[in-house]
Amino acid sequence: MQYIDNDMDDLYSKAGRQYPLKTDSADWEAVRSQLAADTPITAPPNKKPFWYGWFLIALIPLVFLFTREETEKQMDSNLMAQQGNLKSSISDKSPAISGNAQTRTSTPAADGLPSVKIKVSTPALNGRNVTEQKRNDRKVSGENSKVNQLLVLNKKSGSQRVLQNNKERYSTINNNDLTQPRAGKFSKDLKKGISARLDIPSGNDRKLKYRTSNGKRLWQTGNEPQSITDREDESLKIGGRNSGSQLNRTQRDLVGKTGFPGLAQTGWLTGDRSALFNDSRLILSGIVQPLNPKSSKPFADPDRYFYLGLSAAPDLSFIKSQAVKKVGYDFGLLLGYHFSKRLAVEGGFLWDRKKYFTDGKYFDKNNAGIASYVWVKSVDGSCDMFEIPLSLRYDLSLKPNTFFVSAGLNSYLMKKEDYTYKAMANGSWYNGDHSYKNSGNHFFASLMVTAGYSLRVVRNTNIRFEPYYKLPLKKIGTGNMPLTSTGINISLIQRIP
Amino acid sequence: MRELIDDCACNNSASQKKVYERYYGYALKIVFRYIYRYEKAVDTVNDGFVKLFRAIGKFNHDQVDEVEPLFLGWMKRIMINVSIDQLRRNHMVAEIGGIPEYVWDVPDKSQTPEQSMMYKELIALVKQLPPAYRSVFNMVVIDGMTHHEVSDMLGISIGTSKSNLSRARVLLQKNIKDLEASDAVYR
Repeated sequence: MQYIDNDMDDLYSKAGRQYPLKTDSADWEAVRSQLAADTPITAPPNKKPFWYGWFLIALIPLVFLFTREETEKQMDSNLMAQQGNLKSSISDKSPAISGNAQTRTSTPAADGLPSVKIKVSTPALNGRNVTEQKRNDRKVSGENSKVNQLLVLNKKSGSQRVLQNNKERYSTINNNDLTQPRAGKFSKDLKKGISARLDIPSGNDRKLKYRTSNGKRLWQTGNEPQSITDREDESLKIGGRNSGSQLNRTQRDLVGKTGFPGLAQTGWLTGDRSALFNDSRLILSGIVQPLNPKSSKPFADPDRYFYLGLSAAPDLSFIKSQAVKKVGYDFGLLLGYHFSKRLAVEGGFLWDRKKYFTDGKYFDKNNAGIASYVWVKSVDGSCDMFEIPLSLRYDLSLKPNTFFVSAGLNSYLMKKEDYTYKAMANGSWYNGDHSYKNSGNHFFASLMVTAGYSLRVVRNTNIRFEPYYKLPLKKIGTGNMPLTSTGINISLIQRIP
Repeated sequence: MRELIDDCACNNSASQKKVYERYYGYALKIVFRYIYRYEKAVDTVNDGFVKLFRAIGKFNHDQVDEVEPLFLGWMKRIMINVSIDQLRRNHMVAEIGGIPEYVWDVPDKSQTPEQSMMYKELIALVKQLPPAYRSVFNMVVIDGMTHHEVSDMLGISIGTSKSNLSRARVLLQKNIKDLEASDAVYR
């Protein structure tokens, strides 16, 4: 022991590192079971993109865009048809304007219905006016629904002038002799909230004779409107674009009184009536007067709109019809798109806290990291997660206060799970606690069916009471449990805009 | 080594087992110097590994070239901590009796029998120190910690740490003298 006074510290340091202790007592199983039983297992971060849920919600505006695009295509095709008909109409009118009568026979209808032979005779206009009218017609038609210049044509005198602004345009329309009340004036509400004023030229200005292909005379404008209404047995079919379409009484009156057989051909009467108010030919002739001159957009469809909502619900969750011991809750935001009179697609982003109880046989302890020799008797669990519902809703009536049903799929983004379990290991009972974070995302994990009542509280704002039932499609959570949920969603819904 | 640590952070059981088996002896030699009861030291080592695997995700090895020395230093700190905790649970009561022979392994080839015997005797002398002195002596002299670190870990002042170390040395010298004296008697 000669080292006492010299390098004792070095000696002890070396002894502390190199002393011959037996090290064959390693017991990895003890450590592993301790890790499994007591350690809060933090799952590796889930690599699935979180935006997957947002993608589902983003589908809602896509539905809106898709349906809107279809509507616009339909309107564009209508406008193109109007342009085509306008050109043909002008070319048809040209000889008549120059004083010659023209007899036009439409093509036979595809369904074999009788075609119509139309004979039009109008007072002569000079050639300059005809050319200018063509030019302006093209210009106006080419701008689809926008009318930047309005050509006012005085049919009696044959003079015309271009109006440069809306104020002058509409004041002129209201005051000139084209819009003065005449014998053939016709007014009717064509759509709720929108009225049209149709000024019909007198019957003396135009002589329209409508005949069927076999030469049978149907009516002549200005002289016998009564005869049209009386002849309900005549199958009045107009050839051309809307060949085969059956016109009702009002439409026949309109065709007869306006002296525009092309009205029926372009489908204005049988199709979207909003086109009627944007048609350059009717505006040029002073037949149609839009009441809202600033609005040149197509009519907004009242059945298509977005809505936002706040939702909250008590949540009763259970597994395989076992007891519910505690009540959870959920709350969050809803976003929906009402795309038809009764149907809406709806998504949301909810925060859920579900509480449940299960017998140990439904709890998968393999994923939970509990040792195989441990027998789990029962589990009390709670989980915090995000829920992304995506559903289709159907209103049972068109009234503001209505019952509705919906069905959809729910996805869960599990954030945290806490389990308290009663278990037996090595012959002794014990209570264990486990906590898991970010254990996984479960897409389309449950089928949700709801039925509820929507009550209007103020304009554009509804409150909904919506009992729901969520059936498991997949087992969720660390314990791989089929979780069924029920409750009542209470939502405050605000229509946008 | 980096991959092994990363796998352990992902709760890869196979990797954890590798780490445990590779460093178990190192950890046990640290813990035994504080606990001095073999069975309890084994349990404490296991507790230390559980603690280590729980916290291994926080072990940052991105900035260093040699991971193992850093990891061993980190492991040593954990093992000392769990040992101190174990001593506190036992209220720093001194162990009774000597070190049983079954805890000693056969010396490896790097050591002569004399060296091995000397190391065993030195460790046995340290065991005779009161736990408070022994802890400070182990931490400062053998494990190379500063008094500041010791005071932080044990919750004592730096002065107390220095005082305990000084008394530990005095006691060790006395014990060594006593051992020499007894050896002389037997001779």
